[in-house]
Amino acid sequence: MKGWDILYYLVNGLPIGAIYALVALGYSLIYASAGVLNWSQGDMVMLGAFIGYNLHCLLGLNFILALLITTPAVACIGMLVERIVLRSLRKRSSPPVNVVIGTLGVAIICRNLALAIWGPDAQLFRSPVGSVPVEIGTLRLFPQDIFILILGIALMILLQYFLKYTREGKALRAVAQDRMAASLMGIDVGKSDTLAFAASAAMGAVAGILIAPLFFVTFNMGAGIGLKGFVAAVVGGLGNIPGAIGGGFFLGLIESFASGKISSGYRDAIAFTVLILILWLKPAGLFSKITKETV
Amino acid sequence: MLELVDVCARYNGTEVLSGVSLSVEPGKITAIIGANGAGKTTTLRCIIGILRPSKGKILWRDRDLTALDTKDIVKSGITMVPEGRHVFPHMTVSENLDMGAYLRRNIHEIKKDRSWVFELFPVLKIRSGQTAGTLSGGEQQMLAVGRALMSAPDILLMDEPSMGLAPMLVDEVFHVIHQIKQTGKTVLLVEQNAVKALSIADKGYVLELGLTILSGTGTELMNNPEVERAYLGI
Repeated sequence: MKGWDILYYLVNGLPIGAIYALVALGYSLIYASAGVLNWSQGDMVMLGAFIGYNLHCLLGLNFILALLITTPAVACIGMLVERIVLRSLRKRSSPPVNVVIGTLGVAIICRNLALAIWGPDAQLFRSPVGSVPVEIGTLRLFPQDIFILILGIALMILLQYFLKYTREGKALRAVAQDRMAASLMGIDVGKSDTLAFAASAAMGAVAGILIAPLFFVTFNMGAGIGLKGFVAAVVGGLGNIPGAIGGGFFLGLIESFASGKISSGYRDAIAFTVLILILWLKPAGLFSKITKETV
Repeated sequence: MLELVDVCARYNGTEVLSGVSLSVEPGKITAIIGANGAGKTTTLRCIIGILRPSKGKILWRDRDLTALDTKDIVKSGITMVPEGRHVFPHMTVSENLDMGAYLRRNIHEIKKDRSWVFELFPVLKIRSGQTAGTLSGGEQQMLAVGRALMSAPDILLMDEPSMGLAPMLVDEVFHVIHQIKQTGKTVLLVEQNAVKALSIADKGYVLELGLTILSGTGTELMNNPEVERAYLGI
């Protein structure tokens, strides 16, 4: 493989990998804190894309402003999901699988609401940074891709800082590591779950608004991206925060190689085959040995 | 004074406590002894609010704790060192101690307590940058106690602090409990090691099948033939 080839695959794989990583972080954060899977994570991406589309493309709001409104709005929806589904089911001491089914219900409701509000047609979201690529040799760098990488990585760094250095972030890590001991410290473990849902939805929303210019915005876009994000989280080790980031980029690169080397039609099939192989060889996730730390 | 009045509790419908009454006097060490399954741990869990009693009262500073959440009980000055240590394995020793002070805001006071904890357990100072999961069992126990002390509790509940430790470390743990008492703190101790517990306790209670069946000073209970029968669980 020539050097240019490798660069080509990196340029194609890393931006979408950053998106997968953001979605995967959402799954892992909630799994770490509350111990449940949130199947509405992909639809937070869709809601982020649609609300961003509404504010930016329909109402003509500045893109950054649209982003700053969309993200907390979707975070609030995430908090609502925690309150309505997780908390109320937990009060009745339902098994965790009921919560998972509950979040699946939320996903379907979100999809149908989006269909009712924005209709069945795919909507075009023009890139706020333009679509004229920068050419270096045979390589073409699209501004939106660079924008995704910068914003995505900034958000990941922000999350790490939050978990490592803030009072609430540390509390979330404590809950993830030992829920009972965390409550003995006086930590409100329910509030930590709410925070995890809010942060996950916020990251989903940013992923949605970033990916919108690459694909069309549709009411059912959450299903595919949600599944990819989930796979990335599992590959990195569910509940493992650095693992989710690694898993996301890994999945993006595998897809890029698969579509470049073989055929874009087989992209998903090849990517998932590789993932099954990885889980077969390393059941605890690709990064189980490198980073033992979960959250 | 912390007082339990006829506390009953159930786990999944089975009654585990069927009437525990005891009082914990300030500045003293109170020990609860009894066989496996007598309800010792459950009693502590009821006090700290992890388990809600089905009947009875837990009175502390003119309040009934049975209606409060764990975080409010911790705020009111009670902390528990859980059985099996439960340190945060991926956090450093230093971060674990910070978590103990989670509800406190006065940085100056927190610093003072931190240096006191390091005085009590010099090994924690040496290991302060290490993650808690890499510590030995004895060190983890010390960290669990140190972390609990970081919340500046008036009452320290300790659940089987000597369990699984080498004999030399057991002596050290009991020595530390005695030192904690000397700073004016109140200790409620649950132990399988009844001889050790009663030897440092000012007052003791014997639990059997979820009932307080005996009480007395540490020495009284030690010389009681009933006690021998109860804690051996015959």
